[in-house]
Amino acid sequence: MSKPVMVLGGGIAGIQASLDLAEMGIPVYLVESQPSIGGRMAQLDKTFPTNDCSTCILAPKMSSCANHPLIKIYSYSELKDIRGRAGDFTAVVTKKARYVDEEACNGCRQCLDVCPQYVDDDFNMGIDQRKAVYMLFQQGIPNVAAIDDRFCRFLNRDKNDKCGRCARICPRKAIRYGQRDKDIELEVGAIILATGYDTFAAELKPEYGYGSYRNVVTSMEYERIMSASGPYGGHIKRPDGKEPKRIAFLQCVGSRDAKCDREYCSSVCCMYAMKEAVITREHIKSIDDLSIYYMDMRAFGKDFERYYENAKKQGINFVRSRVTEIAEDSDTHDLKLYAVDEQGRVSEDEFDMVVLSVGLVPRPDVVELCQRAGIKTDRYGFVHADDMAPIQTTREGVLACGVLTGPKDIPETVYEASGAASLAAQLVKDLPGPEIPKPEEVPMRDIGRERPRIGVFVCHCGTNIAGVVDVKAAAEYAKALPCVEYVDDTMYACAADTQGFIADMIKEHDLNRVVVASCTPRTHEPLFQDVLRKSGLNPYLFTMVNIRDQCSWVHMDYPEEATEKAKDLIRMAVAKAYYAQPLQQQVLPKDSSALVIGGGLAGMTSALSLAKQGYKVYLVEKEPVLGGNARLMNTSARGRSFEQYMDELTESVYDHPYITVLTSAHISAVEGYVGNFITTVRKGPDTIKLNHGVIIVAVGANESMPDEYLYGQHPAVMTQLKLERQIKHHVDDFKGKRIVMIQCVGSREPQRPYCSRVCCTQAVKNAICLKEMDPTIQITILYREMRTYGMNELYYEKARRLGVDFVRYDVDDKPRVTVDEDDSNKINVEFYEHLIGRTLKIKADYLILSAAIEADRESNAELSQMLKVPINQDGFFLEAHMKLRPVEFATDGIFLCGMAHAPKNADEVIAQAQGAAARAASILAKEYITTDGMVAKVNRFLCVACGICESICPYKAIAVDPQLHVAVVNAALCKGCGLCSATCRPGAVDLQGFDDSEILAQLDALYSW
Amino acid sequence: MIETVDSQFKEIVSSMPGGVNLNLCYACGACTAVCPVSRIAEEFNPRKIIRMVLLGLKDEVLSGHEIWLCYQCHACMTRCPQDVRFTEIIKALRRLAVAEGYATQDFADKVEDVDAFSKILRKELVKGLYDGDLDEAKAAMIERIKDV
Repeated sequence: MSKPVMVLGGGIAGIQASLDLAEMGIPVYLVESQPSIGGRMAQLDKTFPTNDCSTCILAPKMSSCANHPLIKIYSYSELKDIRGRAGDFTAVVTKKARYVDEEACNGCRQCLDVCPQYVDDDFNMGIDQRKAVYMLFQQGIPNVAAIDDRFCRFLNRDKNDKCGRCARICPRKAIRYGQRDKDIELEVGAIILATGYDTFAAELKPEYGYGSYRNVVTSMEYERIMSASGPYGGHIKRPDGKEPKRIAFLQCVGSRDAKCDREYCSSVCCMYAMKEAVITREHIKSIDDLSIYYMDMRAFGKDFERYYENAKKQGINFVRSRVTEIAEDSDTHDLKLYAVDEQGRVSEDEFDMVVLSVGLVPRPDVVELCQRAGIKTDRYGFVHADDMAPIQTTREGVLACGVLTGPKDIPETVYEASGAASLAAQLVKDLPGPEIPKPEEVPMRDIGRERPRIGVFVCHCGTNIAGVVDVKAAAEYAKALPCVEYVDDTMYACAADTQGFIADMIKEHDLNRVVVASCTPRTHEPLFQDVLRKSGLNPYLFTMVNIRDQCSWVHMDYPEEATEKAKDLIRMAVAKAYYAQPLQQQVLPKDSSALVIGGGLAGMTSALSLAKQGYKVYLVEKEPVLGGNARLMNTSARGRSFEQYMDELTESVYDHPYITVLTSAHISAVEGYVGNFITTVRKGPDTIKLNHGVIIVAVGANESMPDEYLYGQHPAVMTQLKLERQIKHHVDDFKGKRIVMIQCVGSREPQRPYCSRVCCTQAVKNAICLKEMDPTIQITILYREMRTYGMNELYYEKARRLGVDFVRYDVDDKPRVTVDEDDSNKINVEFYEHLIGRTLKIKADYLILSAAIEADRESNAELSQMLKVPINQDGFFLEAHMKLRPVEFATDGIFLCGMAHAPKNADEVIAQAQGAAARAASILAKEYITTDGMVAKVNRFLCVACGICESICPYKAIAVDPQLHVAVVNAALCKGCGLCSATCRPGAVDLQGFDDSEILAQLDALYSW
Repeated sequence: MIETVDSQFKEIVSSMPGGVNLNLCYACGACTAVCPVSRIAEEFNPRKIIRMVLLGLKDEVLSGHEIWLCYQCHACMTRCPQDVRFTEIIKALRRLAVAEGYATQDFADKVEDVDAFSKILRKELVKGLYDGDLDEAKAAMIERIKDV
């Protein structure tokens, strides 16, 4: 066992880093200041651009953390001090007194019922109240109460009230009034900081009246207002109780604002405001007005532009203006917004409710900690991150990820967290640590001779299900079904206490089949299977019914019918469970080397990261040299030289004994499956076969070739990448010249309906470079929306300060570019200036086009066929989940990073490449591959070896054995899709877990009962 | 009409006292939405004036009457998220207009007289209203207006 790593912060970043480390076999101490892990994501309602329920996608990861034997969670604890150095840290952690024995408390909540002291609920942003003894939220982990000593009557010794009610009622005698804060020392090899952020204090913008106007709320408050588990149970109301008909969202509150020392952009607010508006429309069908007041709509991430276009189509009103002040009607408490349109008309629009899109700011306590621990922060308090080392801090061995290093969205946070795990693993892998006992194996109960005894658990999911479906009635109905021995309805089936309850019921009622009617098996099935496993039941004796997606969500307007449908589905599941059989998982050997496809910045970074963790890597590049796009670039936004960095990186890659570089090489075939891939590589006349356990796709993307604005027809017209080369080699050409840049060339248009993300920052960076070289150069940048997100906003500000002009144009009135009639070396650019309402002209010496980033569609399509992984409609590779699985495919063992995933800046490429390496290492670190039990099975007496299954299988998991003349299944490849079973004419193939008896029983239950 | 973009004008204005953050304007419109003059005179648009300065429309800016409409109330400066000092920039533009012959010194002085008078006007009328002799105050002011 290697030396442990400490992860500080139990939000999504800390959770991801902990899980990755644990999967790599490294012990983790996860330290969280709140009574439960979960962080900000637990407070959010839905996540963009997929509108997934935030808690629903987070909760399984939280549970995995709680259940992993290598992760030790210290909740309600704070890091006080870091002593020592990389590889040999002593972290001093203060375990705050929670006045509850964590081992004894079983989360029954009886203390919450009897506590007489109400307190503003911080988790709900103070909108409603909780008790002084509390649990942070329903699905909290650990599922243990805490007493808030600021408010507890007993601890504050109220003379008139000898309280102690919680201690008296606690059936486990778990209340400990005498508990005190306690310091503990943890010996760790590396530390990952993942402490997240605070939101901007909206009171600091008094013109918006937050704090005095009751119907002005912050976006974080609005998330809770929308949430089914929030203070209003998911019914959107104004704080004064009225249902709003007109809601305004104000962008950049505490962002892009020098007045409150927040010059940077907070990166996520544009998208979350759009999401909040879209979801609000789903909640209140009859809403009259949803308006977003913005300056630039920063929909720069993967699929964000489509979300933006859809929001417009759904009637969300986008107003390009910064609201200057809000006035409140003292009788109705309605709000009047003062703004101005582009024509200069001042508007005074009225709304019932205003949501302030507050920016992200560093946590003051973390800034203080960094100062104590010698970790450099920037002027705002974000942990200083270098363009080329985005996850490292200035103290060796201390890594940082998530919003702690600057505003960013969840996917970037997740891959940074994985990247931090990767770097931490490199540090600790050879350091000896304590032995951690393996979890005891529960012997499987033999149920062979038992008659089916089925337990049914129906979940309310707060109001997610119970708001529509009559859960009690559905549960009551299940009691009458055959072989059902036990039925219960639970508030949250996924909560840790309910899992324990299900285990208890299995024992108490001798259950041998379990049905849970709740949400989707995609996220929650493993959780419940684990409960069965720990109770000595084969996990495949579990059946799940999705009465949330399939009943309460899709039939939300028809509660009675939804309830009937839920009963039908439960009846079918019980019928299926009757026939469920224990299935066996196989254990297979595996190869511990990796194949990285693409030798650009992404590929080289992930290859080196894996090599440093001790794994052999084959790095395959189709070009004769390594480097890709990064070789063509001049400097990063912060002025770091790419040439120098890439030289060093290339040298490290070539020098590393574990890395085999194959340049001018092409992948011609990929066979096998996770742990056991065989890839054929052509290199000149040679064909090489490589054996490896995982694949990382890092094939990149390219700057596209514009087909407008005289590109290719006039020597003075060039792309940004070409400009970088020119600046590097012939910078004098630009002295004293007149330069125009046009943004969004080929992006955000029908042929490429996405934002290329990097171009605004790249244009600003190049403009700064030119202006700093010669201030007499005149530069005008024509843009549709400046998307210099995050800290890049500071470069936009710098460019303006240096005198670069920025003029907005509309896509249906693009700039007109012609060769000057008098001087054919010059180019005339004509454009309409909206704010002064007329057309202007510039006679330019150079015209620079910010050309779209595009995927190599043909080559990506070919590779996607070989790997059996999807690409999206824009030709980029499609990850398993946009928010929480940004570096992996749904197919096991195949990962992606860099611009193959979507356009992104170099610092993001580096972080994502390190993240992909961590995820890949979590497979390489294991001794064996374990297959799923739910795979196809061939009855060899019925098989006629016709080969139809072989031709139809999308995973190449079934093939006819030429000797035996029967179809044979590769259990490691089989995904259990059932195509072979459905097409087999003699009925020789059955999908285990969905075999004919089970499916026919379901149909029978549906139609005949 | 098609005009060319020229950056000399903004360099001059930004180098004058108060012009320091001129270039930082990102055209959000907060200044214009709060401006009390814009509410009564649609042609007065602080954001547009800044844009015209930035894009070099010098003749139009310095010869027009708009730059003389500003009350100098500083409301715009309290709201500007980029700390562009519009009130100061207006002062600079007025000085430039006089220095370059777009307006006479006499005209500039008279505008100051108007400013001073309008303040007195307001003060007297409010006082008249309070004391209950508004008509008297009005009559007194009508006499004084003849001097302006």
